[in-house]
Amino acid sequence: MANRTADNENESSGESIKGISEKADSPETVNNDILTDIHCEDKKRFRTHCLSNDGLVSTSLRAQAWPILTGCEGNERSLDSVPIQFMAPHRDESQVKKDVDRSYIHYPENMAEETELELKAQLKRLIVRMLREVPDLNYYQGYHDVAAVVTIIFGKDEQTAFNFLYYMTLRYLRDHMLQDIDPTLKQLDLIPEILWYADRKFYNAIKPTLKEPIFALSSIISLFAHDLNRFDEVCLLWDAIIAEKDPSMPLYLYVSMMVRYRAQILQQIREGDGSAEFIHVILSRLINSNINSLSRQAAQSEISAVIKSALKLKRKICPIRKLRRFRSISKYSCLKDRKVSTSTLGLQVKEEAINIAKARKRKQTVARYQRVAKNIQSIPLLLKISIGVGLLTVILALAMDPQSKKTAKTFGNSLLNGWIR
Amino acid sequence: MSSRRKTILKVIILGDSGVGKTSLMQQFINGKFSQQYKATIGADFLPKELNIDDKQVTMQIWDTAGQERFQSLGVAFYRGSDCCVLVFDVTNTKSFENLQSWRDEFLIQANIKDPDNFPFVVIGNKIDVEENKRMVSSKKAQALCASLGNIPYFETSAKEAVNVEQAFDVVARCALQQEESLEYSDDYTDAVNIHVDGDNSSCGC
Repeated sequence: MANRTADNENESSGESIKGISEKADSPETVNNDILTDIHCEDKKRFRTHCLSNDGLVSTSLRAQAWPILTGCEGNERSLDSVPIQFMAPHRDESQVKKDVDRSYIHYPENMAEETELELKAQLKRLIVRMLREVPDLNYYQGYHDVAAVVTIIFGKDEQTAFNFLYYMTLRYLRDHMLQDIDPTLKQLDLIPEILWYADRKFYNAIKPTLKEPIFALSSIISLFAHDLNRFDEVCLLWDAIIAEKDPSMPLYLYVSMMVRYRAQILQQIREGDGSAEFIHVILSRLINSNINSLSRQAAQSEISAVIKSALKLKRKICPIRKLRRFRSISKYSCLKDRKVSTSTLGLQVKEEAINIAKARKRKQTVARYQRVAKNIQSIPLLLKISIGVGLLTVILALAMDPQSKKTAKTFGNSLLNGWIR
Repeated sequence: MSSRRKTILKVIILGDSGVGKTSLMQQFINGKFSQQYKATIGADFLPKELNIDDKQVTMQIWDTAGQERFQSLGVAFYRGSDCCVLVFDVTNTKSFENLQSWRDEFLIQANIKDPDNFPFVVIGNKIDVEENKRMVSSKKAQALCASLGNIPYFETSAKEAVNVEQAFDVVARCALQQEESLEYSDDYTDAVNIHVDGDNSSCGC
């Protein structure tokens, strides 16, 4: 599997950002260039095209180039799998159906009704097959936007569409497909820190909202497919994401957009009530307000600029390993373990199950302590004192035993709180 | 709360995925319906200026994601709500059965201090469908609303703009009443526990 190569290539940047060229060639020359590279399967040159202003230019070129770039045809899974009707249904299929029914809203443009129905049928087959083949995955709203892009690119070639989505899922999206949303939130938590490096003043201006960077949720989990209204712009971003082979790229792209539209965002904030919720809404409409409203040409040049500054951020200003919060991310996260493999996913699923169980236990313990503290409030003073002395003895005894120290401390604090009240 | 100059009423719309939350909000605010709304991921709000009994208010309607996995994000959006609209689809029994858990989850996450008196409004949407597709009867829905503390119940069609205006009028009144009662009690938070008769009733709708 071609997992480990990209990082070394990317992070050894010299003076300029490697791989970015300001091409001014005619479209025909570029097309021919890309076709030659497809023929030679020259991945290095592909990356240069991907990161250029026009990216890989067209849907048909992307359909040929993306599988080569990702190496998705050599996925670990066997190619001749069981037809989906013979596989056990996945728990999330009813949600998939609901979302497939409301897909392809902004693109492809001017689509005939027949084509739309055919695409929706393909989309449903694609997602259902993925979930049935990898039942550890949990479907989320926004995954259907990613899969919709894949169906448009690969059309009737459903096998390649599947192989490609399989790669994208395990390489880029698996953190978002665990049992709960915490691993996604951990990824989103990197955004404020990247922004801090990118633009400290702006960071300070919107600090309260950055505590919960949920405004970036739909863009990150859908790889921008949910928020952008034009297919070409989604593809340009995907060219860059695929060329980088790095699941942290969407985070950097998002921060670059924030910085690029800082003036507009601050202006909108000044016009509103300034609450964290209001800023959240402004930020969550970042793409809609600043890119979807532009002409096609203007939007594409904006996207190119965003990609360039994202690469600068990622490779030079604040590489992911420099981020403090990166340390608290699971070693199985796709940001750390780049293997495209269901066994890594399996380990991640197990770890997540343990985390969820721990969190539940913590919650129960806190609730129990709160109840105890509340009861104490209603006990007469004399009784309080005598129980207090008794409990203090127990806590002291527990504190002597180093293993129970933590429990004793929490218990003691909780009691004390109830007491003071 | 009492520092708010202009009265802002915060309303949250909750309910299972695909019951028509976005459609209801769009119909109420922009007076239009589209078959083509994207699934809501995260949360978004739209404001609407209203006049309730000669009082100018701004209603902030928060549209939320219906998929369960996004429910825990609610904490960030539910705070400071003045009314919660629970929506189900009359053609989908499951969405009706889940109403109570949406309500309970809201009360926990929004950290509502007086859950018994917090205003909810229930909406059964999609009544434009043929009668044989309807799975939840009015009677059943009304019975549930009565058991949950006489919650006002409306049947709507966001598609055909049936009853949407009326439902949100009640939502606005409930929210205003809640907001005013909060402002009132806020002034006394540091004083002795004062109970004012009639102040904490659920909106008499």
